[in-house]
Amino acid sequence: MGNSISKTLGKLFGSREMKILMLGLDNAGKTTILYKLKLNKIKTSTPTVGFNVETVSYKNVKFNMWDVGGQERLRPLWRHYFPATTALIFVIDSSDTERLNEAKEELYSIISEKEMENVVLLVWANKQDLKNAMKPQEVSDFLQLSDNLKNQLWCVIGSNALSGQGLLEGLSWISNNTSKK
Amino acid sequence: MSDNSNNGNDHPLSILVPRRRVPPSFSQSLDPLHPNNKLHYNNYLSRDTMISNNKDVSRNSTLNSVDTMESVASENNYGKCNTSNSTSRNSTSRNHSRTKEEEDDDEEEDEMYDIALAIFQNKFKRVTFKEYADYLGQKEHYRILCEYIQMLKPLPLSLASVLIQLSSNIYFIAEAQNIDRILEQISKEWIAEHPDTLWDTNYEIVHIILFSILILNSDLHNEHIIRGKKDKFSAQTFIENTWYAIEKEVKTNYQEIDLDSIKQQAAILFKEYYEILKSNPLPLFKGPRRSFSNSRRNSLNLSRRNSLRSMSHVKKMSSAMSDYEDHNSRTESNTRTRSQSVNVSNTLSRSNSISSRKTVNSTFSKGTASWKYKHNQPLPQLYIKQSFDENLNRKNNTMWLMDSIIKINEKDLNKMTRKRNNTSRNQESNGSNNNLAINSDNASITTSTSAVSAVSSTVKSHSKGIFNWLRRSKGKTMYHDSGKSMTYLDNSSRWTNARIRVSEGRIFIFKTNKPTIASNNSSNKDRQSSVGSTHSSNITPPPQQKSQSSSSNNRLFSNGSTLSLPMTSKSSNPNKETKDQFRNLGCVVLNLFECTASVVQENIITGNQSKRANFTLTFPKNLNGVQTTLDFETPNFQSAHDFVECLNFWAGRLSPVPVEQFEIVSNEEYGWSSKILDGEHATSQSLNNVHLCEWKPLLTMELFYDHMDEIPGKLPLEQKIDELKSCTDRLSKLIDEHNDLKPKIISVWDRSLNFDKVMDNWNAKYLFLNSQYNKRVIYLVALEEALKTLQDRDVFEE
Repeated sequence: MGNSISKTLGKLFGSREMKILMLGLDNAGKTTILYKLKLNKIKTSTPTVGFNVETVSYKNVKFNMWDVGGQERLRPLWRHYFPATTALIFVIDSSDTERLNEAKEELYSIISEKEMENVVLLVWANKQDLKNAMKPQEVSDFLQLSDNLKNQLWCVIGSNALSGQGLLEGLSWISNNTSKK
Repeated sequence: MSDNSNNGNDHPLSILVPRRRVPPSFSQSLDPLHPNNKLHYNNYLSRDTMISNNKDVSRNSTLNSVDTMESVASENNYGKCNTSNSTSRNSTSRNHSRTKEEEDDDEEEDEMYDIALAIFQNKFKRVTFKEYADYLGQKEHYRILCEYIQMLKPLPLSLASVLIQLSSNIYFIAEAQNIDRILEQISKEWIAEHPDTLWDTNYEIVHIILFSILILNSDLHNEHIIRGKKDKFSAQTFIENTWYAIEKEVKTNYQEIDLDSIKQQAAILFKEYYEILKSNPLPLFKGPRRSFSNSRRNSLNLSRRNSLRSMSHVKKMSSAMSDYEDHNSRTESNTRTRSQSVNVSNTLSRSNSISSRKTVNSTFSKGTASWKYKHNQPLPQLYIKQSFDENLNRKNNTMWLMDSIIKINEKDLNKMTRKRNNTSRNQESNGSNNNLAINSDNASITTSTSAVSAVSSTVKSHSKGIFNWLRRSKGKTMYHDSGKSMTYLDNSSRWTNARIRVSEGRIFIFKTNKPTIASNNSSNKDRQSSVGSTHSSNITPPPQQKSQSSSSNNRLFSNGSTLSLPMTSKSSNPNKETKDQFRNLGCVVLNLFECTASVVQENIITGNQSKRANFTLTFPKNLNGVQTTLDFETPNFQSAHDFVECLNFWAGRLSPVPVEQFEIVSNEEYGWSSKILDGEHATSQSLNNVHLCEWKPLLTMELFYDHMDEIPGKLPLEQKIDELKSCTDRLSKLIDEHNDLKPKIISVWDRSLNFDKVMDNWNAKYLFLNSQYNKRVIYLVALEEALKTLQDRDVFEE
C-alpha cells in the first residue's frame, strides 16, 4: 500500500512542503504507521546517525515525519523544531486505557507550547481492531479537546495501522485543512 | 538530591556507587541489587514489590525484597517463567532457594553479558546489525543495555566524543524512545566515570546534552529535514536550546546545582561540541565488514520488525523460538503483536526491496493482479476462505462462480488491454527476454510504432525507476474518460465477445478473439480490419497461432460454459509452457474491492424489445478522480442478473465495512455544530464571521482498488453480514439525523452570507452518506442472499 500512498500524497498536498510531527507514547503504533506510510524515497541520501526522520518526496511535495519521543526532560529540546510544523499527529493506543491519562498529559504538554499555536492536530485513535479499543468519540471525550483547544483545528480518527485503515483518511484531513494557508 | 523525587525508572543513587569490579556482573553498579545499595533501596524496593507483585507481599525481609526485586526487574527479560519460578521457590526451603537463586542469577547475567557481547562484536544474529540500537533501547532489554555500555568503557570526557565512540560501534539510527534510554544509561555511566565535571552528579543534565547533540547532528547533516524558513542551527541557537532544556530540568526537579555559576563554562563547552559536529557528522557504523552482504540479505528476507518484536516477547532467550510461538497464541495482546510484526515485516521487506534498485521494478509490478496472473504467480487470497467456499468456488453459475462468454463493450476491452500493455512494458523493463511474445500478443491493439516505442521507453523507464511507471499508468492511458457510460443506449457501441470469469473476489476478462497476429510492419489499417473482423468470427482462433496456444484456446473457447482454463493456483505447474500460454492469452484480472454491479434494465426501460440484457460493473474512483465502469451484454436477463449477484457478493465480501469516516470527531465547523444551532451566534453578523470549513469526504483506500493485494478488515461471511447490518443501520440513522438538521440550519443561516456555503456542506455530506448507504445495502443484500443459499443447501444435503 505504501507505493500507492506516495502517489496519493502528490494529489493530496500539491506542491507544498509539509512538516508533520508524529508523537505518542511508546507502543502506540507510531513505528507501524511510519512504516506503513514509508514511501519510496526518490533520492537515496546517506542515512544520518540519530533519529528516524522519514521524508517522503513526490514531485514537489515533501512530507516530513519526525519520530519525536523520549522523556519529559528532553521535550524542551524539540521545541526548536516546532515553529515550522504544519501538523501534529498524535497517536493513541485506544486499547490501553490505563495509560490514556499519560497520553493526555503528553499531548497537552506539547500542544500548549507557544510554537504549536497554529498547527492542526490529528489524533489517530489507533488499534481500533482490538476489541476493547475506545471509539474515537470516547477518546475525544477523554482528551477533552473541545474544552481545551481554542486555537487549533483538531480531529480524532479511528485507525488501524496494521491494515492501514484510517491512515489515508487522516492525511487527507490534514490536507483538507492546511491547503488554504 | 533526594531519592524520593525520582520515579521507579531512575536509580540516581547508582551513580554515587563506587565503580564496579569486573565486567560480567556489571549491572550491579547501577542496579539496586548491588550489595552496597541494599540498605538504601530497601524501602523503595519493598514498596515497588507490593505494587508490582502481589503474590510476594508477605516477603518483607531485606533479603527477600531484594530477591523479589530481582525477579521483578528481570521479568521483562524472562517473562512469566521467572516469576513463577520465584513464587515456587518461595514455598521451598529458604536457605536452599537462596543459593539456587544466586546460581540462576549468575546464569541470567551471563546470558545478558553474552548477548551484549555479541552485539558489541556485531555477531548477534537475532536482529540485523541495523536494529541493534533499537534492540538495546527497548525497555525489556535494560540489563543487556547496561552490559553493553559497560563494554564501551572507558567513556571519553568530551560528550561529543562519547557519541562518536558510540556511533562508530553500532548502527545508531533508532526510535527516539530507544535512543533516549540508551543515552540515559550512558549518561549515568559517564557521570560515574567523570564525577568532577561541571555537572557534578546530575546525570540528567548529561542526558539532555547528549540528546541535544544528537538532534544537532540530525539538524546539520540529515538532508531529509524540512526546515521551512528556518536555517540550520547556529552555534548560538544550539547553546541556547540546550541551556533552556537544562534550566527547565533543574527548575522542575530541584537539582542541587548552581546553574548561573557555570553558564559561561557550559557555553564554551557547547560551542566546542557544536564545532566538532559541524565539521563532521557523527560516523555511521556500516556494519560488520566480513558478513556485510549476508546481513544485508537477511534484512531483505527476514522481517526486520518481526525478529525485533518477537525478541521482546521471548520469555527465555535460550528457548526463544518454541516459546515464542506458544506464548503468542496464548494471549490476545501478544497475538496482536505478532500479527503486527508480520504485517510490518511485510511492509518492511517491501520498502526494503524498493530501496534497493535492482528489485524495484519486479516488486512493484507484482502489485497488480493481471501481472501476477500472466506470470503464473499465485494470486493472494482476498477473503477469509470458509469451509463452504471450497465446493462452491467450483460451481459455475452460482454466486460464487460465474464463468461464461458474454459480450463486453469493445472500448472497455481496448482500454484495459492498453493498460495491460503498460504492464507488459514494465515487465520488459524487468529485463525479461520475452519481448517477442508480448509484442505479438499485443499486436492486435498495438501498432508497430507503439510497439517500438514501448521498447524504447523500456530503457527510459528502467533508468528512471518506479516513478516513471507510476506516472505513466496514471489516467491518461488507463481510464481516459469518465466512467459514466450509456453504451447500452448507444447504437454505435460495439460489443465483442469475452470470456468473463468472476471468482474468488476477482474478475478475469479473457479476450476470446485472436485476430491476425500483426507482424511488426502491421499498419493502422490492419488493425482496423482485424478489429472489424472480430465481430463476425471471433471464436475461431487464427490458423497461424502457435499450435500450443491455439490448442489451448480451442479448448477454452469452443465449448461454451464448461471451460477448463488452468486457473492459477498453487497446484498449477509454473513451467515455461504454461507461462507462455498465459502470456498469450489476452487477459485482464481486476479485483472487486469496493465495486458495485447493477443490471441496466432494472433501472432503465427502453422500448427495445430485445431479449438481451446489460449490466455494468463500476469501480471506485481512482487517484485522478476517474471512475471506471465496464459494460457487459448478456443474451438474457437471467444471466445478467446472475453476474450482478455474483459480482456484488464478492465485492461485498472483500470490501471492509467502513467506520473511520463516520466516527470522526473534530472541531471543524460546517455550519451545524450544536454551538451554532443552539444559538450561540445570535446575530447574523457573528454568523458571517464564522470560519467555515468545506465538507469533503476523506480519501480512503478505495483509491487503490487496483493495487489491493492485502485487503484490510477481512471477516468471515456471517460476521461481515452482522457488521454490514450495523453499518447500514448507523448510516440510515446518520442520514435521518442529517435530514433533521436541515430545517434548523435553514432557520439559523437564513440571512447569513454563508448560507450557500453551509448548504453546500450539507448537500455534500448528504450525498456521501447516501452513496455509502446504497452501496452497503447492495452488499448486504448480496451477502444475505448467499447465506440463504448456504442454508438452503445445508437443508437440502441433510
